[in-house]
Amino acid sequence: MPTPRRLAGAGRGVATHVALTVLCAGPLAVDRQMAYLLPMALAVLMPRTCGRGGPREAVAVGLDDHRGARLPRSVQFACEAAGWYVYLAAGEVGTGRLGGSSTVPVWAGALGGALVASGAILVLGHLGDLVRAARPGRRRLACGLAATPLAVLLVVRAAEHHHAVVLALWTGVSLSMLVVAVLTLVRGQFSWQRPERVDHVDLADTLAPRHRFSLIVPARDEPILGRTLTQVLAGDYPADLVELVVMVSHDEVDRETRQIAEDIAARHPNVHVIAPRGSQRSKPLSLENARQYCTGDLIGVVDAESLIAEGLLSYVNTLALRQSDVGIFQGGVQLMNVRAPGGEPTDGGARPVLRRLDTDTSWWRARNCLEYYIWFMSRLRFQARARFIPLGGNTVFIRREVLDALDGWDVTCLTEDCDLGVRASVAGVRTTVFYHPDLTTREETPESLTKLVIQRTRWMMGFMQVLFKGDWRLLPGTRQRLMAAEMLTMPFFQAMAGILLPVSLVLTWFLAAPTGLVIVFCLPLGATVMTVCSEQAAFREFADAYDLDISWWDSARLILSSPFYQLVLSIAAVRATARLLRGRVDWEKTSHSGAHHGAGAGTGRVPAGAPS
Amino acid sequence: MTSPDLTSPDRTRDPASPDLTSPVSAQPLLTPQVLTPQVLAPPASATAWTVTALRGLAARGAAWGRAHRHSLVLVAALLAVVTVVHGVNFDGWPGRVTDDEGTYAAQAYSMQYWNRIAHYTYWYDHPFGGWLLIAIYTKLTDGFHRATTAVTAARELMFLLHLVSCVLIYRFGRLLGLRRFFSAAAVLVFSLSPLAIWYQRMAFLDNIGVMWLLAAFVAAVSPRRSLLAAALAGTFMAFAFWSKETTLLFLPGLYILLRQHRDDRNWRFVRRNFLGCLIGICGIYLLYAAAKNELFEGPGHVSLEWAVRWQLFDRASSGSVLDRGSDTYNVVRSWLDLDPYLVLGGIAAAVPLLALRRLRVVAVLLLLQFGFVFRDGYLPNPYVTAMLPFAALCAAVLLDAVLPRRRSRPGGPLRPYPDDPDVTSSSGIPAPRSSASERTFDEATGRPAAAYGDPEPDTVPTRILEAPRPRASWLAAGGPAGTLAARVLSALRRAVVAVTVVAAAIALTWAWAPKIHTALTDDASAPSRDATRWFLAHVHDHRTVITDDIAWTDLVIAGRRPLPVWFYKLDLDPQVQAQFPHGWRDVGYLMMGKPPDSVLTEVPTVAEALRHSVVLQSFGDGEIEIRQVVPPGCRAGLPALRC
Repeated sequence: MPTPRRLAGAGRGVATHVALTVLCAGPLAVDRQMAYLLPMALAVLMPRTCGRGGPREAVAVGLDDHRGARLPRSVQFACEAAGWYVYLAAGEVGTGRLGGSSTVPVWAGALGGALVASGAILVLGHLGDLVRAARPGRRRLACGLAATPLAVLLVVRAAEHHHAVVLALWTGVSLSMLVVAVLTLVRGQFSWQRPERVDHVDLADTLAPRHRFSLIVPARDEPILGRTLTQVLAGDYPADLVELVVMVSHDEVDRETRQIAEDIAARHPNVHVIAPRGSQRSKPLSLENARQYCTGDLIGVVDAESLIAEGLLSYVNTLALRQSDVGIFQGGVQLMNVRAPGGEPTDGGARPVLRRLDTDTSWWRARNCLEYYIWFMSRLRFQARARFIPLGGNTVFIRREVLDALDGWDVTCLTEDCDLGVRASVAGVRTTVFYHPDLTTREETPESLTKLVIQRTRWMMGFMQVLFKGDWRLLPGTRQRLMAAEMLTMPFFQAMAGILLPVSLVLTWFLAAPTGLVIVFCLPLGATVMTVCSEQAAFREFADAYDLDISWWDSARLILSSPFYQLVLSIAAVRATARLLRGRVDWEKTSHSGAHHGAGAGTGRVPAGAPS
Repeated sequence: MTSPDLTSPDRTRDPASPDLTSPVSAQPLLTPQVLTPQVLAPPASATAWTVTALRGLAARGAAWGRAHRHSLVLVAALLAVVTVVHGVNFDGWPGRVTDDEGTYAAQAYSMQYWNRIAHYTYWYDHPFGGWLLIAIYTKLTDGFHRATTAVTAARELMFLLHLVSCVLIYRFGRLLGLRRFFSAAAVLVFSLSPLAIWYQRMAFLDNIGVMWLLAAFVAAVSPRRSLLAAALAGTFMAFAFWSKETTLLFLPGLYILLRQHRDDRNWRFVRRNFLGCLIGICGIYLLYAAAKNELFEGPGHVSLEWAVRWQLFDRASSGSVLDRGSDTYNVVRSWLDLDPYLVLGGIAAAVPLLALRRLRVVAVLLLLQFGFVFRDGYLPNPYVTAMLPFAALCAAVLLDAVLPRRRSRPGGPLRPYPDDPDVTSSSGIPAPRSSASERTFDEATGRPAAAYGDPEPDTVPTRILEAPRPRASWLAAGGPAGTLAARVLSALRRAVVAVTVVAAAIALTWAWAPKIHTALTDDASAPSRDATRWFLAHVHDHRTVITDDIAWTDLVIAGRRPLPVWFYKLDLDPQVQAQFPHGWRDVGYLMMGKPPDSVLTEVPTVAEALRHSVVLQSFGDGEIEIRQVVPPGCRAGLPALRC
């Protein structure tokens, strides 16, 4: 006997089916036979939300398991197909029985179909073991056969109306892109939504040092590690409350870096250098290894190439004392060189054009810096408030017991920071994000465009990994799950954005789309223009915050570079997808030249991107 | 918030570990000994979250209602009065005096039933947002089949829009710092003036545009200074443009108002959100024209370029208002005949208001519109509609400014909100951070302006442009000195305001009551309705009828075939002309009032048909006539011509 909870889920699914079918057949003017398509597709794609399954039993207090389907997807599909046959039969047979003039109402047909599908799913779910026991090959064959007439019908109807199908599909794509673009815009402006939200860091508020920090510094072939460590050690936080765990590897590549670290460790007792053996080194692995050596109660991650702000640890200490219900503190990370990086080797003009485009151009740097500014200043603050946050990989401080409860970092994940954030959100850990120019960790843009693409590819692959891992399905709120799905599928939207405009133009010209649809196709573009507008404002704020001397040309370049940057992101997205499909998940490291070191900590008026 | 001991490891738990499903941890709230630290508390379930959210919403709504209870009661009372005055007999008075009403109703009808923007070729005369709104209303309420006539359905919407406009004016007045009394007075004169009743009852695009415009102004002075408010201001302004393009005249004023009420911390974003929404939504109009390849002039199609040029430059001028024989003069004259007090009083009040920076924009906007009347161009009849809210506000604002603010205790600490004890406690006012914050000091007394109290309990004064009292020294009564002269001046000002209010109330009642009585009782639309009814009852043959737009939609709704033809299009639309190869001889009936000669010269075929027709039935002393066109050799008669 199915549980009441499952029956309630089934009832909800039936109601959804009837409502959506009536909506499609009525106001949306979809062909009667095809009106069942939308609820069916939703039920198969999102069995927990729109189907009849409902969530699985609670895995913890208040946590429903939204991962996976109870039935194999193919079985679910076959059941839904059966429902559609009933729906079709109700329409045809019922009409024949009643005579020419009157027809069976759509809702009655949909109700019949949905009830049959529901019943089938409940029964099969009840006989779950039986279904699972059947050999997968035979099961798939049976399901495939069951769905064949439906597929034929669909293909024929789609071929008949291919024009309308293409336009309808692209309208759907355009509208979803519009929604994503508007959401991105709104969340990117979260910090400026209200005036009182802008200045959220009170530097004057300081409490006496009490928390003990363990800072993990994963380093891999970082010649500038010395400067980073010296900088951290020179901070104003008492040295006995700071512990540095430097992770280097035990191979030839890292000999120099290891030497630097050991030199400093010899002078400072609170610096530990760990060099585990092993050929495969990656950041998550280093972090996870370092965790067992950490003794402090706040564990922080500091990248080897970044510049930690002087008052950062004191501020985090204050925050941790003031906000006892918060488990993770995420500080700001800011790329600083809006123009060319320092120390760029320029060897004559004999290099190929592509190479020069790759390394000598810096049109994308301002945009890259701005991305960081908006992300850490605004977007992450929104995510923290929405209780779903993909953390940053740097300047993040986690309470030790939280990290232990979460089982540390996932060493197989390319973006362990994002993954940790998702799992922390699932566990209900609160996060505080703070951003202040005097507290940000300064970094630099990647050396070249290629490096940027490689870095983005890694991030996007990481996001997809986290998406497919499915931890986010445990998030308690529908809104949170939707937000997670949207953020983790961002690579796909990025890839889509690159081809949106060209495809829209082609459809407009060659398929002679109606005027209304042309306007719909252009709406995402309008949202993009709004975003560019808002970025100008953010760029000014950024320049003011860091006292950068930006000219009108920087602003103009920011606007002009928008489509090309989008193209670069699209390339990275495509690359990430391709690499994931080919199963290549090895670590591509981003290298840095250290342009921001010596660029001063916001003390004077610094020409943007000036070499040190 | 309690701070649990976060460092004790035994109090942490792993959400992935199986023991979480054990009965002990399933009831963490009932068993304090296993209470987990809050850092690891699982988030509430979706249902619990929704319940909490709804409760919070309800609590906030209740708090809002309590804080605004005086305003709510007042607005409810105002709306009751307004509903009676504007709702009773809204279809009867004014009569069907202009064809425009019928045109917009007909275009809304074609949108709803034919999926076309206009019943004839849309030629970019106005953006189509206005009748889109009418079409949405009639679609939702089945207006065209429910209401007596098509124009009635459109007028129903105007009535609802007027109610919204009244609320918006009240709110705008409050946000500008008016006392409740004067805000309400502005609503009353805005609504009860016969001029307002006349124009706001009619289905004009101006009424729709003004409603959106007021919404944009309210959003622009929103005390929160949020990006959402700015985006809404831009959106509403764009909607106003979409309803009636002439509202763009108010854009500079709106922008200045937004800028005056800025907060420097997010002004950059506010500005760009406002402009972005505005340009983006207005741009869709250009996009529409471009998508139809009608942006620029070309052979064989209408174009936006031509329409704009025609509206701005080529349209025949209606003469100067100073020339007694001109159309402009007659239009202005007809306004003043209906009610001279509101518009002229508002303009008179606007001049001294120019001295107050806080209120200058409203005054300037009114004077600007007034100045445009003197422009030697085309003056549309409902032009005055957009002047009415600003005139009402200017009059009320001036009185409010002259009346001295009451101080709670002489010499004692001043309550920031003298009128509203409830809101006094809800401070949390962020400090203004703007370059203009120095100006918040009173020049006359050197005291912080805030000490005088913000008159507006609804606002959060993040940025006070100047003390809400007039700053001119001759007005600066009630200063700390408290001299005899100041007291006398203060008393004098009170007396002036009291006398003005009483006198105005008596005079306006005297002047307006008869006209309002007419508005509530006179059924001037009867001839038009009767004509349509008579035509449908008596004419059944298949000859085309030429009508005005008032009757056009009603005939179409009644199923008249062949479709009636709007008389303008017979001569001006090549597509329609093609259906009449023999000119006036193909016309069967004419159903309209006699157009003025200036119109008849534009439509020669109609003029010719009129000349060859005889009156079958006349309604309302010839206000509207049903004529039969009689070709040579035939005799008029029903049910058909006798030839």
